[in-house]
Amino acid sequence: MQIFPRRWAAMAVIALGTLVSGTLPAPVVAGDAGAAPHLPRAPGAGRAGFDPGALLPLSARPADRAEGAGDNAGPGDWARAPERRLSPYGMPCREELSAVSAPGAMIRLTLFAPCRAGATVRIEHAGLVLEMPTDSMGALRVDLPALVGLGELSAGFEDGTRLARTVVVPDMGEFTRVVVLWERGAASGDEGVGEPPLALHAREVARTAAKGADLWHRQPGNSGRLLRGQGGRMTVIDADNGRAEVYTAPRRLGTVRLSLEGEVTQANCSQAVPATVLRAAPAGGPERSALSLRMPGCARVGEYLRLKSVLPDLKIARN
Amino acid sequence: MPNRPFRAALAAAAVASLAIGPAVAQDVTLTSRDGTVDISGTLQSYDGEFYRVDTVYGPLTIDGQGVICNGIGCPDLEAFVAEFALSGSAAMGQVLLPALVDAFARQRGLRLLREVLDESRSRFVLSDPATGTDQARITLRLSSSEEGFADLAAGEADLALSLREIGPEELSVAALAGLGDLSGPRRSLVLALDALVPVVAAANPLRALTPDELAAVFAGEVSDWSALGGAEGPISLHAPAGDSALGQLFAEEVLAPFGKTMSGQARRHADVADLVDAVADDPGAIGLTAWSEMGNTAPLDLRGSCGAVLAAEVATLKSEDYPLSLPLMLYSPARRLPLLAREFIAFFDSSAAELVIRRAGFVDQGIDRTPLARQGARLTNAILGAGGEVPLEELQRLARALRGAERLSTTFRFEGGSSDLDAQSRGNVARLAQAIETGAFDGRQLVFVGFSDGEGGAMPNRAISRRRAEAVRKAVRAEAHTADFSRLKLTVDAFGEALPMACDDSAWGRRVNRRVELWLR
Repeated sequence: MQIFPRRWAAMAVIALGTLVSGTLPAPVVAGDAGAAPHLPRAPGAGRAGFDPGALLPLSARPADRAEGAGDNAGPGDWARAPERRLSPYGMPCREELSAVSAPGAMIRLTLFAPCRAGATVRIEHAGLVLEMPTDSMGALRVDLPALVGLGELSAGFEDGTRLARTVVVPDMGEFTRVVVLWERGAASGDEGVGEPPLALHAREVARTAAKGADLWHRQPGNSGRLLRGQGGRMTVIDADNGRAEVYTAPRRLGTVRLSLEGEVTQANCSQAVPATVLRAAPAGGPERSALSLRMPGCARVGEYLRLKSVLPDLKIARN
Repeated sequence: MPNRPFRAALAAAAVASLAIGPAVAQDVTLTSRDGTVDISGTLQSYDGEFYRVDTVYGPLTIDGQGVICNGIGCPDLEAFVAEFALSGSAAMGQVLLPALVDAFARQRGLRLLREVLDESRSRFVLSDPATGTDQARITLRLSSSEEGFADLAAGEADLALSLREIGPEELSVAALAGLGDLSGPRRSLVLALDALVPVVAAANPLRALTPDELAAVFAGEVSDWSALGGAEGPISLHAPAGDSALGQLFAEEVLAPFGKTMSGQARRHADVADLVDAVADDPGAIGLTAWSEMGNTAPLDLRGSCGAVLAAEVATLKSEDYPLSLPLMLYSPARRLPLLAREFIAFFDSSAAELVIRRAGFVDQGIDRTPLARQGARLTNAILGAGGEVPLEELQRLARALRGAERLSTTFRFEGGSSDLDAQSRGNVARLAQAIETGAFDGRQLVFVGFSDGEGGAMPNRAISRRRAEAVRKAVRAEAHTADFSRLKLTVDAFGEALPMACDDSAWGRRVNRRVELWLR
């Protein structure tokens, strides 16, 4: 929570209208993204679009767009269209979205929507859709797995307001990645307490399999190992619409056996478990597939289910 | 008076065979589009394209496009769902088939949902994204080649996936089950290519073995690495299940020619993924796996005593120059499948499917070209093997004939000891004929070049290889019905044993050498 004073400062600067308008999404390259904490800060003297790591305010309300504040719009545009509405805390209501790349082909998303505390945000990136709430200050911060080296990330609200940013992920080519989104059915309606019946497992057949790890969300590996090229990492994002399990591995790691595993319980037996699988492809957008996994019948409660043939393994291409 | 299209439809009835779907008899009247003819009867089935109706004239199969259906028995044409099932080799079904279904759905603009029913069964539901109505449900059961044929005979599958050609017993079982002759020309197709490869851990310095060494190792007669030029240490053996296509191929092609059988010490693996992971972990291990599933292991080349080395690579699998090939085959019974199933099968031959096949880790059958200039190793073999029976003049004639030409990956090989083309080569005849029909070689010259093994005299070998080349050319001509042969030249040449690919010291080496190559100029 100690971030807030700095954010207040940033907001104050924005409110004064000193920022260069970034109405259209601009590519953000963060060469040193891992070094600095990704807090909003006032940009330096240069054009915002060329300041790596800077938070670029992005207006998305149709009304603002309609005024024709284009790419070249100068600071003066802000003066003509001042943000009059304020949040209960006195913050301008204008939403801002920042998306910068982070080491390990991640995208660090920071969203400020001061007048939308507790609102549901629909985050979309290359086929991955996550719905997440803003906090009591209207902020949302989350690290997302990149699925393309150059792509769009957007955040939308229920009223149709949508903010979008172009993201450049310079180290995308160094990793392979699989995302399994366990969809939380609208029917089940549980508030994030229930775990999906199955979990993604990645068995890394490292050079010496004795040291090969079985990674899953309870044993996720670590980013140091990932960045040194020694092994993969499992990350979990719990969203309103489901849980995303993200496995990332260095491209040259070799074979990784992927499976979906879990115990058959009284609660999940005979159930159909919906999931979306996204696999980053060497070229173009990710491969996306929709699954519905039937859990075994209730006579098999207590058994451990291991589905090995549903997800293709990660391999070094030989042809 | 029946009008022409309708007469054609009636004629089609004579050749139509068994229909798909539940035979619920209901009354229908089929009226030709111009309203001049009606046929009434009880509807036996509708497969998405054809009506099968029991009439006073007997059972008739009528093309749905030519008629309008009236009556309580008429199927809801919009609601027709093509349902069919595939069963067989897990190696084919695990990655490749789901990827092909996905690409097919994408090409059709259909939405795809894969329902995973259990560890070995999935159902792929293809639906219209606009209306949400299902268009097809494809069931896939992963087991083995053998189980696939059993499911086909039992009526539990419409298509069988196999890593080998159907066996004689399976053929008779299928015939008894009313599936027709599954060895017939249109009953099978080669989807993609794979191969059996011996592998070791990447840390193991061994890179090649001769066929007799390979046989002796797996028979347990050579049990220490020092006998193969390595550091002293026991060899641990990892083999695929004996009844798997890989296990059978190894027993037949590698062990049997030397009169050997698999050592009892070999650790058998039901899943080759587990096999390669075990081998990758153990520098003292050697295993037998599929080219498509080598994991982190290193493949061993096959070395002949004459020095020729055969490596399993995309190019050598395509041309079958690598001897231990495994064709990925799809068998379909002699009965009409739903329209969408037939279109799915036809999709396998498209260039979109070739890309999917490569991405899934298998070798596609697209025709590649290699100029003579990039075949140095082969020419070196030829020069080293020259003298005696193959005089310098013959090599010079070969060089003149092929200079400036490109070898196509399409190569024709024969079943062991016979002049019958093998499965992959029969597919090649059809594929080449199709390419000729589409004009791919218009204005060019295709040369069928026959080669033989080195057994017997050079003169008779040249004659045999020429006869084989002529036979292949004849087969291709016969298959390319619609081709205009004035647009290209199909010629034949033969060089006997002059350009060996492999050593003649093993049965498979000789089989690799007995071939008809295709050259383009």
